[in-house]
Amino acid sequence: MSKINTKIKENFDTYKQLLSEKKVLNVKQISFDKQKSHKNWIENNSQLNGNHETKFLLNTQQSKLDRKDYKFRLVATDFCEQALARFDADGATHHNKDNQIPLSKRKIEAPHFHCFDKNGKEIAYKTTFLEIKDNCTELQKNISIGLNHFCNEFNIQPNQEKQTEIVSNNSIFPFDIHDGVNFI
Amino acid sequence: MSLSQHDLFSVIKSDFCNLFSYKQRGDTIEIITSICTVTNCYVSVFISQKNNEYIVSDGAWIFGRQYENELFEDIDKEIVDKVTNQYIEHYEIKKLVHNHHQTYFYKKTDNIHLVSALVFEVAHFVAAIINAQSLSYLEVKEETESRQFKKEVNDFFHANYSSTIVSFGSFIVDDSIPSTIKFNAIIRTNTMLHLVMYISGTNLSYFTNATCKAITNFEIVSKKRGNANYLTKTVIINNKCDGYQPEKTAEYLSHLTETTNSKPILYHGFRDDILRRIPQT
Repeated sequence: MSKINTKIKENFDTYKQLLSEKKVLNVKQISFDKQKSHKNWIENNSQLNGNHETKFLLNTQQSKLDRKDYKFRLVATDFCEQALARFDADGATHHNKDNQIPLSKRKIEAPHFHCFDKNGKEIAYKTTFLEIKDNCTELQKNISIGLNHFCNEFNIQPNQEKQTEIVSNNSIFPFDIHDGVNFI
Repeated sequence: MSLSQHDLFSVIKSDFCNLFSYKQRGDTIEIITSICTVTNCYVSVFISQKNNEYIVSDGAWIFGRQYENELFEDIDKEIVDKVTNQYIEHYEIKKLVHNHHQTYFYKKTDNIHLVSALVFEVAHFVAAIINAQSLSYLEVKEETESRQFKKEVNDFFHANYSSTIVSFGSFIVDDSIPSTIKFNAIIRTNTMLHLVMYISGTNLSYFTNATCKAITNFEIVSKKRGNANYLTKTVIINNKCDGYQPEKTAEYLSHLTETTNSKPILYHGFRDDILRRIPQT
């Protein structure tokens, strides 16, 4: 069940600071070297260098079935166990459950970002870039565009000498979840 | 300004109906419904037409954990399995496993006039299952304490070991050991694999269950891998929890010691033993 993140609620200024402070992605390559416990997902953890003492990780996950279904998560476990923010390129549509938001404004389709509000409640949102359908399609086809967008949103900068490259198989586009399944 | 009853109804109907939308996914269409889960996700169902039949499925999203649905404890799984079977029966849902890892729940019909009814039923089924999986069936105190202990020990590993070699709540990537066998922490170096289980419990029963789980996990690894010298088995006990009653669990702890070839580490007061047992590089 979706729960309030009390650590973020009680330290909201620190949380905002962690999101906005400069972090440097210090790897040349992101390759999916780890199998997640769910066999259809693979992942990578890359360290981010910040000014702060807090250690940051960039966690990247990708579905092996549908390559356009990928996620980026900004993690700082010294601060809290849950990811500080994430980006979902595809997947379920989020409901921003908030007594002050009319029903018609609560629905946020993927691709979208997730972060926490000042009450420690997880919310989804779209950037202006993601409001444009063609941008969403391009970003789903090309994970590097997604990475750039995520990095821009949370002040993650590339190391000047390294242009981080994501090693990922090409998408089957469009992916059809019923394709090849024998529904007897 | 007040609305007439009819206008009020119209606004509500319009707001509800406008929640529905769709996405094209190849020859399959995703219907995003107005039904929402306790994980704050709208339920999607997937429809395709094949051999004059309409298939309405969950798109393998329940097992694909697309709804942020996770099961945390064994006790939850038992309850959720019982609940799931009753919902399958109630909604007359079919289930199939494709390519070993994709589990689909679905209904089908050759009558186009029944497709909406199937969407209605499959969507309610998905919400029911996700909600059942996402609620906690443990006592609040047990859940909180168990989570706090996990966090405390995870933090200790984070502070003392490189994040590139530690993973939490994961399984050994190896087809010989099922992915249902998970360890609280795994530390991989070039030459060694260190498997770690944590034991805690707010009463004797929870503590004993956690001990049995650790014993079983390590016994399965021993059975599959033998006593390989590249592998160590470590147990870390929360010796401040109410369930830690060594005199009453002596038999279990002694069996655990035999299974792991090492004494469990009592976290409070002796946590530095972890560093001696598992080298930092």
